[in-house]
Order: sequence, then C-alpha cells, then structure tokens
Amino acid sequence: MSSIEIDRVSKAYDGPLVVDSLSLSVPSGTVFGLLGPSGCGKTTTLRMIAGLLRPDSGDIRFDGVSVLAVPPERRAIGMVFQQHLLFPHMNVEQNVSFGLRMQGVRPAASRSRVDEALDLVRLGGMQRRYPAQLSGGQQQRVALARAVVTNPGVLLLDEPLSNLDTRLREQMRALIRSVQRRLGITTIVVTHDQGEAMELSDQMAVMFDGSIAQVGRPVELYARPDSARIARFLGATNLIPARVVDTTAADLLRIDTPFGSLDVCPGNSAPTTGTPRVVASIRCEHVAIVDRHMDGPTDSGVSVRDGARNIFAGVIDDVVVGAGRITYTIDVRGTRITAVEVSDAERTRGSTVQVRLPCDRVRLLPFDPGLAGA
Amino acid sequence: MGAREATIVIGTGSRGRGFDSTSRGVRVALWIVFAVFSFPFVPLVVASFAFRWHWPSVVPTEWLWTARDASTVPVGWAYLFSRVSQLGPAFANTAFIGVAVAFLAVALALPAARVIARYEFRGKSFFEFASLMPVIVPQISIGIGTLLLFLRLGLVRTHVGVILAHLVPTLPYALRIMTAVFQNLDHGYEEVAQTLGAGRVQRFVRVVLPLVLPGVATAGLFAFLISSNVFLLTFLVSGGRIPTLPTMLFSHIESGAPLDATTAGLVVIVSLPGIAFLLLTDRLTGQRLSLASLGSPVQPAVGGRA
Repeated sequence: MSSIEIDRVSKAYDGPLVVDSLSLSVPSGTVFGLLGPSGCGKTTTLRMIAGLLRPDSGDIRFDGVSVLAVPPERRAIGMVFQQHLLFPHMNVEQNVSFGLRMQGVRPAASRSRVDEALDLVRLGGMQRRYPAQLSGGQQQRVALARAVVTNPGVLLLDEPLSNLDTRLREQMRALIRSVQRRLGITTIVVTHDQGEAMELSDQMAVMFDGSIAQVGRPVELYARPDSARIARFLGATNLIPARVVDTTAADLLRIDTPFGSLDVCPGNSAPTTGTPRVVASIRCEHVAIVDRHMDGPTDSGVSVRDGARNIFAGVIDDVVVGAGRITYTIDVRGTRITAVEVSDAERTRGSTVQVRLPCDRVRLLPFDPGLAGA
Repeated sequence: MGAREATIVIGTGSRGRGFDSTSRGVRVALWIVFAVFSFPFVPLVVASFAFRWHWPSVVPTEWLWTARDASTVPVGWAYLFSRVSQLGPAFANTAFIGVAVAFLAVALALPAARVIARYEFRGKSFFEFASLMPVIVPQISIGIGTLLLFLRLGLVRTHVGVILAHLVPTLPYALRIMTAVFQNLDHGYEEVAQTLGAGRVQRFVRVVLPLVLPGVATAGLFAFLISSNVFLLTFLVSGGRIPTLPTMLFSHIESGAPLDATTAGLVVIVSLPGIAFLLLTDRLTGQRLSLASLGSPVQPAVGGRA
C-alpha cells in the first residue's frame, strides 16, 4: 500500500487557482477525508492524484516517488466516482474483471478474484447481471469491487455515496470501512458531507477556496475547529460574537456577549489574532436546557459555580421534532440560541427555560465579520 | 408487426421503453400514423400491376396478367426481372456504392464528431457551419463543381469517383448523428477505464466503440439510405456509365410516358432498402438500449434528426 504526499500543488483552469499550493500527506494504509463545500477544489485535487488532471505546479508522490509523469492507467489506483459508471454493455463479472484483463490476468485466475471481490461487497452470485438490472446501491458496490479487485496501492473515492439515499448511504459507509480495513488500502475520500468524512476517515482535512483550512482527526476537528467557518461546516453550532474582557483569572476567561457575560475555560481557544473581538462557538447538542423551576443544574460533574455563572433565561421560539432528537430555538435576550436535546419529551413553544452553556464547551474563535451572529 | 416498429423509429428516436404499446389508444394512433405514411405506396403497388389505368378509374381498367399475351415484349415486373432491364447491375452498383459510402462516412465522422463533442478549439463554430454546407448548397452546384474537379483528377466514370461524390451529402448527417452520440456519452467511462489500466487503444476498442455502436450503425444506415437515393451526383460523375437504381428510375421518367407498370415497379424497388433499413435500425438500437437502459449514456439520435 502506498503512502501519498502532495507537495505544494496548484491548479487553475482558465482563470483563478482552483487548488492553491496545497500540501498534505497520507500515511500508508489510512483513510484520509477531504471535506469541503462544492467548488473548493477537493475533486480537482483527487483527480490530480489519479492523474486525470495535471497540476500546474508542485509534486505528487506515491511512496516518495513522483508520479507526475505516470499516466493514470499505470498509477496502480482504484477509483470510485460519484456516478457508478459501470460499463453498461458488460455484465457484473466483465465489469469487475476489466482491470484484471487490462493487466493480462488469465480468465481462470481472474474469475476467482472477481468472486472474491464480489463477496467482499456482498454481491456474490450477481456475476451475470447487467448494471441496468441492479439497484443504485448494488451498482455502487460493484463499482467499489471493480476498483479494488486489482489490489491497487491507492483507493480514491470521489463523493461515492452522494447519489444514494440516506439509509443506503449508511450501509455503504460501513461497507467501505470494512473493505478498507480488510485490504488495508490507502484511501482518500472526497466528500461535502461532514458526517461521511468523519465516519470514514482516520485523518481529515477541511478545504475552502483551494486550500486546506485545517487537518486533524475527525473528533479533534469537530471539537477544536480553528475558525468559525470550519466550526459551522462540521456541524450545527451557535456562533456568538463576543469580546474578551478579563484574562486575569488563571482558570477562567470572561467574555462579553450580547446577552451577558460568559465564562470560558482557558485552553479552548483557537489561535486567535490577538484582538479582543472573538466568536464564541458552542455546539447545539452542548447547550443544556434547564427547566425554570429548578434552582440550578442537577447533572452531576458540573461545579456549582460553573453552572451558576453560565445560565441564562430564555423563551422557546421554535421547536423542530426530529428522529429521537428535538431542536429548539431559544431567544436569549435577543440572541437566538439553538439547542438539541436527545429526548422525546417535547417542551412547549413560548415557555420560559434556562439555558446553560458549559464553560468547557465554549470555544473561542477568531472574529469573522462574515459569520458572526449568523 | 412492422407497423409499430417503423413508426417508433420515426417518432421517438430514443429509448423505446417509454412507449406503452399495450395501451389501446396508443396502438390505434400508431396504426393511423402507419396508414398515413404508407398511403402513397398503395397506388404505386397497384400501378405496378396495371397495364391500363386511366383517370377517373379507381382501379386499373386492365391488369398486367390479362394483358400479358397481347404484348409482344415483357412489361412491368416481367420486364424488370428480365436481363434486358439492367436492374441487376443497377442494384449491385447501388448496394456496393451505398455500403462503401456508409463505411467511409462513419470512419470519417467518428473521430471528427468525438473532437467536436469533447473539445473547444479555434474555428470550431466555423467548422461546424462548413460541415453543414452540403445540405445548404444546391446539389447541382456541388455536382458541377465535383465534376470539374474529378475531370482533372480522372475520377469521372469510376466507382471511386461516385463514392467520393456521395460522401458530400452523407457526411453532414453522419457527423451530426455521431456528434450527438458523443455528446451523450459520459466521458467518465473512459476515465474509469483509464484508472483501471486501459490504454488509449483499449479504451476505444473495449469501452467507447461498444457504447457508440448503435449510433455508428444509425449513422451508417442513414449514409447508405442517402447514397442510394442520390441521382444528380451519380449521374454527373458517372457520366451515365454506372447505372444505379435512381439513375435507372430517372431514365424511365425521362421518357415522358405516364406512370407505367415498369416505372411503378421500379419505384417500389427503390423504396425497399429504405423501409428495410428503418426496421433494421430500430432492431439494432432497440436491443442495445434495453441492455444499457438505466443511466444510459447512449441515446442514439435516430430518426427525427434526418
């Protein structure tokens, strides 16, 4: 299995840079997620790794060896595209064995490897079917089998699940993970779906406007984003414009928000610009709703002081009941705070509640004029 | 039966699936369409068996078989199938030229269409316009120009000359059809083949060609049909030395006689390849389509277009 290094790669179609001096390295045998909104250059990056596009500058290395001069057909890669792109004139067996045939593997040997690959994606016995006779999920699984049957050093997945419905997508994620683990193949998956990237990747990068904004393990990125934009892209969060007022206390940081002052545990700040203006981010599921009649937080493990300080009264403005979780929009002195509760006990709209923002869950991010208050 | 197939080819030109031919209303409608299309052929077929048929009689006053003994020379079908008529050589010439033109037109249109569909290049719009010129410019101008050129090149009165001349009116259609086919062919198939280790030749032979085959067949058949109907170019370039079905037909009409049984029969024969090949096109594309159907890249621009 190959390690992949991308070294200051840039690419422009006619006009501005689509990928701007991008560098990243993927250790052998791991899954790397490339996450970003559409048009951020992630697919362009993947296509350059595949060799389908040529970088304008920079280098791409597999196992330390530059592959820029190697055409895609000799890069030993497997690729799954957004559309399954199964050859409609070939049956499943012919599709999956295509890569083997290109390598000159004899039909007898090829057959057993095709069977193996199809078992891997749980499609044993479908050899004689034609792509048109398969469901969308099956088609994509055949495409996966076709990509891995040749034992490529690198597996590239370009939004492989975006054409499937939700339920199928979850199954497919699990399948991709199990196939990857079984084969130990170095994998890069490109997606705009943060859940997909987080579930699939060992390491992932968030990409905006042709460059990588942040790299790290998915949990790390989710909990400790570097900017408001990353925080919001990775999941529902409250972004509150704030001003740092007191940095004297060693164990607590105090910030001013539109609805009152808030205590923040130190050490949970992104490398900021040093100005007092910041954006405070707190994930919706970390906002605790406390009923009014209670005197204070009852959940264990929270110090009384902490609880007492970061509690604010608010009125429930909107209730959206989802599957097993309820999303509330709460008006806290003019600021709308979104809270998600894993519960099926619905609170009524218009009722007054207390909202607690746990101090260790509030992350301070650099001030972002485009996002503050959004 | 033939009715359904023929009308589908003319009408839809895409996946025959959408047609619910089992519905009664649709079937009736299809038969009406078929009747309209075949209406002109009915008097033609009748005339080819008529010895005497004057206005205002609805049916011939005298049939061929009753008049056979009265005539000293063979007439109508008997004449056509006799050695004297030259129908055999004309048929052979038409078929040979048509097949050659079809193959050449497709061979030339295929790479050109691929480039037009895939790439942007300087002068592309001019090229596309120029490729339509033969359809816009009157055939007599093309014919005279070709004749003058071929006289110098020594191609007049040769089969090669006639074939080359026939490429002029056929190429625009072949090019149009093939361009549409390539525009509908997802480039991703080639890319996926490439990541699977297929080189340029393998990609073309194993992936592209099978996928565009219905389009290729359609383009070829149209080239053949057009070629087998060309009179003027054949007449000019062959100098009357290479008889084809159309030139033979025109020489009969030329003689100034009203529609006699022989001419009517000839017209019927001339129409046959067209009908046969329309049915064949449907067969060919229909089969491919049912196989490729879901998310099919291949939507041959059959029918409608030409």
